[in-house]
Amino acid sequence: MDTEKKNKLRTFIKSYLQEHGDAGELKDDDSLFISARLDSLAMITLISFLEQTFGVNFGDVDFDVELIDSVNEIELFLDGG
Amino acid sequence: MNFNLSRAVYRHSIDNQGSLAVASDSRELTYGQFASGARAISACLRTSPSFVWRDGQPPRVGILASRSVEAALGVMGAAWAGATYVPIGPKLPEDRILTILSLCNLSALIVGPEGVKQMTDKVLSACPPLIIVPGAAQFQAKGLPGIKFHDAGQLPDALHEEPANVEGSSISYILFTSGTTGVPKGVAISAAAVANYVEAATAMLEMRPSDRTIELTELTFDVSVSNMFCTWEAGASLHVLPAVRVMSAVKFARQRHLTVWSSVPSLIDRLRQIKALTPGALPGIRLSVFMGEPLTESLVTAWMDATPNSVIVNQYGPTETTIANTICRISQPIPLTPGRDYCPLGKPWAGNELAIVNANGAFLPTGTTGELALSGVQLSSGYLNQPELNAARFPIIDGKRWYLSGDLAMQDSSGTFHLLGRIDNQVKVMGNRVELEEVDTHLRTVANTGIAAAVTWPIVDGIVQGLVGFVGAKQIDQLQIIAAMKDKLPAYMVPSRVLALENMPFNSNGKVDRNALRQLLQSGEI
Repeated sequence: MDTEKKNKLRTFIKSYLQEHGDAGELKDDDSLFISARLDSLAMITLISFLEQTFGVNFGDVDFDVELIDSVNEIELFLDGG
Repeated sequence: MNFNLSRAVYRHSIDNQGSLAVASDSRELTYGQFASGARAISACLRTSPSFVWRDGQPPRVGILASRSVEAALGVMGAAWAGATYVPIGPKLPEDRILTILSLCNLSALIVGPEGVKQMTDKVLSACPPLIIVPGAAQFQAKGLPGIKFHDAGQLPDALHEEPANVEGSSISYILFTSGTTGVPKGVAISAAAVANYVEAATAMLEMRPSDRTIELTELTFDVSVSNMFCTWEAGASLHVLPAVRVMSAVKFARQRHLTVWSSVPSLIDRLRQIKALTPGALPGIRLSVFMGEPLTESLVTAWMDATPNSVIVNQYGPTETTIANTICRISQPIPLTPGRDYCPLGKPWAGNELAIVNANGAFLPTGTTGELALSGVQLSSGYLNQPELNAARFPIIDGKRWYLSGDLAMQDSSGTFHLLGRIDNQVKVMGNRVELEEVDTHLRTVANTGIAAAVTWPIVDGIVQGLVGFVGAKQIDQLQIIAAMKDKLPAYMVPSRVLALENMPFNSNGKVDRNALRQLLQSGEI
């Protein structure tokens, strides 16, 4: 994933957090869902963003929360790791 | 007869002690180990001077844990001792935990690993004199007067500790549910009521020792009572997935070769939205039980595709009448309530009676819409310390005690009951009961205003996705209000958006017009 894409991803998550009253810092390794910082509705929004922006189809994925639990994990997942 | 909820586990611990009873990703217990852990907790509770019966009812034991092996052990240990268990959600804000502690006069508290961070100084000062908690020594070192701490993992086994004798009228559990006044109300359920449900459901659902059941429900919600006790009645195993991993449920069910699915419909809606619910995804599921919300046709279709080998049933019942009282088997063509896109409630099983009544409590004939009333052995003994509410909601009609559910319904000529709405402002958010007035009350306090109202929004395919709050003001600090609401209420009761509206719409009764507010959202004006 190139820097521009990763920035886009960070910006999306940060603005979602802010809209929902979380102005805290977001590190690339910070857990989003396992930590309960974001809920399942946020997950639906994030997945729809990933599908639209990066062209991934979640219907082909054996879905596990851990695949998308942090910015770094999302990067790894999108890069096919 | 002994109505103790632990008697099935006791029996299996002798006959099938090596069979799996409860498992999570981090811990597994056979029936032998489960019984051993439960009787150790039981012995610890029963030897405590605080473990005393009051007004003919057993001591109450709080369970600050959920969706873990430790939560299951806490429930089983309390049941083994003959106590009433009171689940307290480990994700609740401190304020809410303090309210519940103040309402129920506990004799002891059992804390799971997920509840430890909630043991703040304020909570500790409101706690009973016996606390079973991981890392007990650190708490003991605080030197709090009058409180004894024990570690569940270090309690000595109590081989001769048999399940206490429990009468049918003895309260097995108390669940707290949203109350219109802003304070949650405790619903007390007797051992005879649980026994009627568990025996009927285990037989109807043909639960068997080889079953592997999923647990996706918080302990504070009575679907968990069904999952736990039907599974253990059959000698089967319960597989627990923590809340933060709930969206991995399909993978979890497949990896663990689960055979029984049980959840609220809105969960499978969310799984469908992240595309985890693909056709044929769960071939191992033989039985799927839905309850807590209307089961829509489109969800049934998606679920039938995902679980080609599953029998699907829809159950219905308020917390006040013990988990569920009616059942509807779903097959092709999918049965639907006339004029609606969701499945019928079905018919009651033995021990339950349903009727439709008018506003004066008179019974209405078949085909007429009115309030759904329930009667029978599964009826709650009432709300904790609320005599007026009990008189209103549990009236005597024709010499028999009934519960007025607040659900609008009708019975068709085949005897099947159909849900048609609510007579009040109780809604379901992800299966959780919410009295909108309770949200309003806290919104008014937090926003420091006289007028505020919450509505369900958005609603997609008939399923409520969340709440939006409106405050009668020119300007508000939305984020500050949401943050303050989170400090007072469970997360599912906190609006995801709060909007300022200078001219709130009112209906002819002088109440805030929630439909008009929803229309504002619908039209995109706001």
